[in-house]
Amino acid sequence: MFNFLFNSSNQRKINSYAPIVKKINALEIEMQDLPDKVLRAKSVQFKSRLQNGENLDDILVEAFAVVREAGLRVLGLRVFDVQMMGAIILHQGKIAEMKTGEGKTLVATLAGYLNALSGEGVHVVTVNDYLAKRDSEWVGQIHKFLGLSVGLIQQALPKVERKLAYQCDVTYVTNSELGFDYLKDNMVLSMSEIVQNKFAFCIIDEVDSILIDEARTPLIISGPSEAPIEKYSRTKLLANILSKDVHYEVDEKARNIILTEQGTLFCEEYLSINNLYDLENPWVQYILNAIKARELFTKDVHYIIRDKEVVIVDEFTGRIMSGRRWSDGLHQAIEAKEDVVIQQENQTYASITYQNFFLLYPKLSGMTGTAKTEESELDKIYNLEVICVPTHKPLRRKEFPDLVYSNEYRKWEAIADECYDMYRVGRPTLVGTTSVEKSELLSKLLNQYKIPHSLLNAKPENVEKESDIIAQAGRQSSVTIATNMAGRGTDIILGGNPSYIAKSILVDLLIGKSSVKNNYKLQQLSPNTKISLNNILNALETDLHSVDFSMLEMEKKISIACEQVLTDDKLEIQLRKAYQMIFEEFETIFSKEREYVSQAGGLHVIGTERHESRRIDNQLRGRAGRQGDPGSSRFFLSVDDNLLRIFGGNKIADLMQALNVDNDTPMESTLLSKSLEAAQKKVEAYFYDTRKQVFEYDQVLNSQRQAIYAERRRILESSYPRDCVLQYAESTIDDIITFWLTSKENPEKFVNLNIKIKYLLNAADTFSISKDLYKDSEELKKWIIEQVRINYDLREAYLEQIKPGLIRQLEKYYLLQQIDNAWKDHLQKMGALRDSIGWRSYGQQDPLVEYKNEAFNLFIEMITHVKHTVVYAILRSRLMMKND
Amino acid sequence: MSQKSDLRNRIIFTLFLLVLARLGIFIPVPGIDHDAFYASVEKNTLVNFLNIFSGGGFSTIGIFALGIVPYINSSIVMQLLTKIVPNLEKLQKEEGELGRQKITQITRYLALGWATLQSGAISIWVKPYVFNWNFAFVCESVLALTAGSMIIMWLSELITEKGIGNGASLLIFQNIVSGLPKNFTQSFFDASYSNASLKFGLFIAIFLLMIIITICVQEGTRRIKIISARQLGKSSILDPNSYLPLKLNQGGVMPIVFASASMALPSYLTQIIQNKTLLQILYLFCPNGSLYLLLYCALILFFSYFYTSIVMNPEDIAINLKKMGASIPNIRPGQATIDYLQVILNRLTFLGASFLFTVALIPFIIEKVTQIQNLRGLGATSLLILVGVAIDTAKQIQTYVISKKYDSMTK
Repeated sequence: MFNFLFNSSNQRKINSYAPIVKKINALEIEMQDLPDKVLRAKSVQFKSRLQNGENLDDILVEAFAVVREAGLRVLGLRVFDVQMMGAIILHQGKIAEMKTGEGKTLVATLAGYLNALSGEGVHVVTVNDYLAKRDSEWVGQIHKFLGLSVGLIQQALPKVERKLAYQCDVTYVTNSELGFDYLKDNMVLSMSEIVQNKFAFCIIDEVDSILIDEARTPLIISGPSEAPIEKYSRTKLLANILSKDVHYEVDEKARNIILTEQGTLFCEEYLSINNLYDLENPWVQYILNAIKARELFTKDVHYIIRDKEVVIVDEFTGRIMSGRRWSDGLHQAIEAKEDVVIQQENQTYASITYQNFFLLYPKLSGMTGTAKTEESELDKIYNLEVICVPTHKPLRRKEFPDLVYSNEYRKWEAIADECYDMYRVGRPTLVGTTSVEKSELLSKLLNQYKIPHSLLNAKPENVEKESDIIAQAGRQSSVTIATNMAGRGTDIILGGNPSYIAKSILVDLLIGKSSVKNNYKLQQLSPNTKISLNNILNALETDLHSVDFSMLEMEKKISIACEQVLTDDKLEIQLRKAYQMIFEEFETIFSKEREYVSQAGGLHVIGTERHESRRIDNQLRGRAGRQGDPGSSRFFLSVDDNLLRIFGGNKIADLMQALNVDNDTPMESTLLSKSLEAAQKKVEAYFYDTRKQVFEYDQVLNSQRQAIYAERRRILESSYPRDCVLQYAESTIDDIITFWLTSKENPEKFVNLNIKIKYLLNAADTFSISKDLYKDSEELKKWIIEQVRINYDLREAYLEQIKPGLIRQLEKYYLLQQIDNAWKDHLQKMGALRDSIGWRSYGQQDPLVEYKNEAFNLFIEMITHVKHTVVYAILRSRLMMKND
Repeated sequence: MSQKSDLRNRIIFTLFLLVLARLGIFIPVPGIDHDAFYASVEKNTLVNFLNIFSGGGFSTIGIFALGIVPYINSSIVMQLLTKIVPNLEKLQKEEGELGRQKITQITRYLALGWATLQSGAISIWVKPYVFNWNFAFVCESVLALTAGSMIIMWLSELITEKGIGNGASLLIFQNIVSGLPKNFTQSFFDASYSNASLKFGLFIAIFLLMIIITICVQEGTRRIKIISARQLGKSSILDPNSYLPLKLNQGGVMPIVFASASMALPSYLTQIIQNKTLLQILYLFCPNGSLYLLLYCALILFFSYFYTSIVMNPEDIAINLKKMGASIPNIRPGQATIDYLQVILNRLTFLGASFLFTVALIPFIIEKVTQIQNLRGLGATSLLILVGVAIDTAKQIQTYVISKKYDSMTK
């Protein structure tokens, strides 16, 4: 309804950027004349200007002009005006919505460069390692050319290099690495192990994916804990006997299992126990998990088996999430179901949600192709404004209305037919499926139709070929079946991507050790090229043998060779020659195909199911029609689809019935599409609700986390933790005295202060507090603290004799260890509280308010516990030292 | 953003809106002879009762005279409807934020309808005191009063969202409190009363007693221990925070409101009915009749049970427990749990209703003993609301204080 208003306000903002862009454009000619050296020296100039009191906005125009020129020189890419606008939006800490192929990566460089000039590191966050690497190698060159350092964090990077990478001006990193490093940094025992610097500015690529889709599940670092493994295997057998709707009910919407009374009795009989919910010997959770594993988690949809391990497949990106495990015993139940080794249960050591993690940045920005639909959430939770940047060239994609079939079989048939038609016409086709299982089903169907196609899903053998598949996906008559993996970040170039394919050939030849003769990708090349390519490789052979490169080093060499960076490495120069040859050859082949494909109508995208969120659908659609190319998209749906079945309600099925459709005819009606979108909106709202709740509750935990981490960091940084221990001792004494004062009124609970203090000080039996002191509790406190100090000095002197500095180490160790242990226990208690707090609403109490209050009590308890244990441990540690 | 100033700002914002809401009551609706009106309504008990909630608006007919009452009423209606109409129930329970927004929207429309009706009735009712009563006047005053009540509704939502506490509750709270001084002066500083100070002391004592009882009624809960499957096995000690709180008084003020409304019926009927025997029976149930208190007690009991059965369904709880994989220790899930909860609920409701009756009875007794009139303003309903709102608001403020403490720990 307010579209009109929205657009105009967005337009107004976009217009306000025009004068700045104009100013930048005015500097373009001036920059073109500058030699490389002078251009590079600009960075130093900017930095000194910033130190002299100018702010980033003052130098924005010049800095962006410099980056544009650098980009042109290093990568041969000129930054368009709309990209400049995107960069300004990023710099202002907002979200820039830019369509596929508009060059988001380059946009990030501008804002990244400008903010890095302030001397505080800039983090550029991507969704996966591959993208982080690609970006740092590709556009990272611009930063390097301008004299900034570029860091790259990858999954297996060792700590020392990680630290170096974080200290760079611009660091490319994935969201999960960034988050885990933060958590790990707050678990270390010495300052030298900390890898991250202070957070300053962060640019998130595919921001909606990270801040919205991933925000539902928190990052968790966990360690093993005891688990009765035999229970999993027994309940697995039990789950196989139970029958649905008799013994249990399945709630698909909430993804939950409910045991019926009959089911409960049956299980108790089967296990020959009295009570499933017995405190001492509980079974119910194992049974529920076993049924969940059977009913709600499907192999090749929610997880795959890799190396005899159950690996989660992310539903939004279609990629595997190695290392992540479902919690509360669910993962084990699935392992039992699949007959793989059941791993230990985990206990949470540290956790944080992405929402709270990214809010740690004082300035946050992001870019994506699809954010507008989630505008209000981004604004409410992250305080991020979304601005749509217009495309460089007008969009030429045709979006055909959905076709709805009465059953799933017809749908897949129709999809295969459509693939066949496109194949015959010669248009490239991309089919997006929602799971590994479905992608394989379609692949089988296409095999029957004898349509050649490639398959991209999370299976390891397919993942390897990812860049090859994408490079060729735009070629004439190519059919590509993919899961959501082919959504974000994949750029399908009509006719094929010559640079991708040239690079992948080099990798094959040098790392894969295939020869020029038998590489199938080379078959299209002319014999001349093959011969000269062989010559180059043979010449390199000796070089390669003399220095034995590791795979990583080799990959790096190839990457450098494939990009237009200045290099004087002999090997790299030779490699680049080879690359250029292959590239040019393919370029000519591909450009012909591109022309043909464009005329045929460009890339056709087929969606096979509506996703839970419109954004994922739009991402898939967005693969077609990049940079003003022609293209089209269509969704094939059926009434049996999950979304329609679970959330659509009876409305759509009724509608189908009312329209009296026979089985074969698809329906193409706007009315239907509308109700589909309504269903999707409902799902989005439903998940927004869950995310909001997660956020509201996690905010409580977040305050506590910040408090504990701050205290921890204070201790870690301190070279003299004695103050902290004494401070703890004082508050411990406070607690003891208060306790004693209150117990004085109640004779039954009366505590003997003398004994307490004697115990605390580890003093001899002759220790006694003088009678006069009891009268004034203030005096008493002062006196006891004095005693503690004396005692502590003695202990320190004694330990100092044994080994100088020992006491400081002991103090630090005790403090950190106690904090970590207490925090771990506290997390568990908070989890339990979160589970049970919902019941408060029955007492007409607001669960969130109750949660906040109860959580604070728990927190105070924990802090008191930490203080007491540290003080007692250190003051009474004499025995331990004797043993030494 | 500093939490400290946040709390301060929220409180200032809330107070500002409350003052605004109060001011509107004194802006009179044009066309009415307010002096004549004031003189006549002073003795009307019905108006006095309404005044409790709308803050004295009816004795002057200001543009905010309806106050938050239409909104409250439509909320209550909606609360009942969501328990009865399956579509609404689904909207509330299963559709998340979107569903709740829809319900809020319906509530607002309902409030609008209610306000229009009520202001229509008022503009007809005030006919004797209007200088020039005609259709234009009715339209004008309906418009003014309805708009006023919608503004109040908006203010209350603003308070809930950007201020502190629940807006609607706070507005009622303010209205009740603003009536108190007038009540006091009327009761004690009237020249006709002798030894006012003694009575005042007695009154304070009884007042305190009533507050204590009210707090007990309001806050009294039975905590039923609960264990969730997820926590089972992690530790064998019952988590003290894991319980299902069942309130002593589920219905809040509603049983009393319903009961006193029904109690007005016999007196009303006596004015219409001519039949002598019937009249005699009816007189038994009128304020000075011998069976009056008995009926009152019975009605409170009845409405307590009635309301509890609507807001708290043991079957629902049992199903939810199952859904969450939780259970009550030593009670089997399913029918056994339902029975167990039903028994507890019955006992609680009986106890709660008795307390309610006691609280409701005390003003009568004071009236009888001390001859102080006009104590209705301090009846059970007002007290329950005052205590409930005060506790809830304090709890909310508490959370802000807590986050301030976290902040100081982070530095």
